[in-house]
Amino acid sequence: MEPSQEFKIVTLGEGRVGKTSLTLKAARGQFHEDERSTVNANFLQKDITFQGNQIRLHLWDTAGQERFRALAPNYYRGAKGAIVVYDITDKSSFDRVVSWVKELSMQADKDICIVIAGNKCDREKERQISKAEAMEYARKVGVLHFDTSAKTGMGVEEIFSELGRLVYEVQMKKNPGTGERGYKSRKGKKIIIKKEEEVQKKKDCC
Amino acid sequence: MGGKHSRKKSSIKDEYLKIIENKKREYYKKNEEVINACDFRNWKDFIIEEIETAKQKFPEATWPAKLQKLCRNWNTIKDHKWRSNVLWYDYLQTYKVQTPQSQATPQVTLKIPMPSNFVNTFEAQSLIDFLKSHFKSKEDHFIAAMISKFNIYFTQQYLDPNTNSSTDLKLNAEVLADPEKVTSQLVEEVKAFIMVTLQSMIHYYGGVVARMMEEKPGEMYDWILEEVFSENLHSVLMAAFRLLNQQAEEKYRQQLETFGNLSCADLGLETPFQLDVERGKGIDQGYQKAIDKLKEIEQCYSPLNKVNVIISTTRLICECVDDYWRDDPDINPKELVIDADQILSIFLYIVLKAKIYNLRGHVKLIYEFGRRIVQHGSMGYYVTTLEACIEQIESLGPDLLDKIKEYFSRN
Repeated sequence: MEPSQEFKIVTLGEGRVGKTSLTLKAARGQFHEDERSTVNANFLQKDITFQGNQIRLHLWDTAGQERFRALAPNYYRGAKGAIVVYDITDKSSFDRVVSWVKELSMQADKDICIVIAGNKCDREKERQISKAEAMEYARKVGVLHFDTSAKTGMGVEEIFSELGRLVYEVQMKKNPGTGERGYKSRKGKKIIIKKEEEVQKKKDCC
Repeated sequence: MGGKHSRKKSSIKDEYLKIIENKKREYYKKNEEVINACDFRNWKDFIIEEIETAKQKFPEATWPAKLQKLCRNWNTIKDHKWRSNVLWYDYLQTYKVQTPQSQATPQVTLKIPMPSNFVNTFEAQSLIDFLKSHFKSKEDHFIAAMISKFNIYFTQQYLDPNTNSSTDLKLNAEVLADPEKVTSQLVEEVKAFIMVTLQSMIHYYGGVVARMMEEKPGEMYDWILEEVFSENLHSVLMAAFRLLNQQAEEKYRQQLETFGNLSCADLGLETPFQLDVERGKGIDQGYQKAIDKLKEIEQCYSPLNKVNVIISTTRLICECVDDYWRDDPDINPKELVIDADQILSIFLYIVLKAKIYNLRGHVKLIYEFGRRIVQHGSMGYYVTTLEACIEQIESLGPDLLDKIKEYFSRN
């Protein structure tokens, strides 16, 4: 089934918080130990279904190293959704989340949907950021927060599905006519070619 | 005896023609709305009107008036074969789809003696492929002729009359006086001409092409873009972009010279991706295949072909890494995952080695004319990575190289 909508989603966060593992887990499932060839995990796609609509998410991984920090706007330009990832065992990575959310709110598309992922939840004992603190921050800035683990898969499906749903709803609200087929000539002749099944449906109604 | 045989033959023929006639009627009935959606008898008038829109938008441009003149003086008899055959092709395609694979009609290329090298490629797999074959006849296909003439008129408009080499183009005084304003107008004019061409396709061919444009707008746009971007048009746009970023380009070229010899490790590539390290392996190849591929961007004129070069480069990067580690049991496959940090670093290495001048211009051409899906999908990701590399190269210096060293000693 071909997707009816496609959206650009960007993952942001400090280096080594597990952004790539998270998207790899979401898009390809388990990592195959016996896979011998090189895997390009910087751009991936994930299809989700929402209310019968097939939605394709284009997942753009971004570089987390400090030296690439200034290049991030090139990547989140035009993105409709963003996952800001931190490592629950590293306090400084959460501090970085605050600055990412602030930057996205100011510089990214006005209607961008943001979610926060507290990754590496399989290492609960090493937690440096309390769940309550993270949830409180997310509530304050009006975004959703998910506990995730790229290793066990915990929360991975949920965060992508939820972000897809949010983006879809925002975009449908913004462009209610999206998906309408038709070709308008500048000479005022409008040609609307309806799919056969649409015509049939109409006939059946009458 | 002979008479009986002849009568039998004649009745088979009549029956066959009847079937064909019914099929044609069935096709027409089914597609009546599409076929009659456009009045394509007066196509020249409509195309003149389309060009008029561009003329009013760009009153200083000379090409719209020249194209209108071309259209007025065009002998429409030459176009009849192209226009009528689209309907035939669509009819045959409809029939082809309904035929089971086992009973498929043998494919035949019809070669009808014509004044030019006219070939009707009815075996084309899609309507776009069929139309592509029409565009080879610039002498007797109006839209192909219009594109060819646009390239000449547009180039004349912005080039210094004393330019005599395509490799050393000189833009005229108007562009030199205000590069920012004129470059933006230049881009808008080309976009306007692309729109004129797309609209003209509907007026020229009628509803069948209009339907295809509605069903596959992206494919149609990409193809027209490929037809419009000739070497001359590409050279003028690239020269204008270089002029626009003259200072940045000079700095970029200096940086390429200064840092062109940096190693994979210097640029922060992780160990599995440092293909310039011997490790008992032959390092003749390294990333050479990818470097050579990226250089091909200079020989591509259309934005989509440039994007294809970038995508192929990305694939070759993986191939180079695979080749390097092939038959090495010590490598952990988990280490062969190229994340965003690594792809950016690898591209940085490749761009420094490929030494492509005016790379920013190539990227700008893609951004200006590429479709939204091209910009937001995988193609867009690697174009953005290339753009990020240019910025990173411009800011390369001892401080940044120290930061890389520091990061790796920490991790």
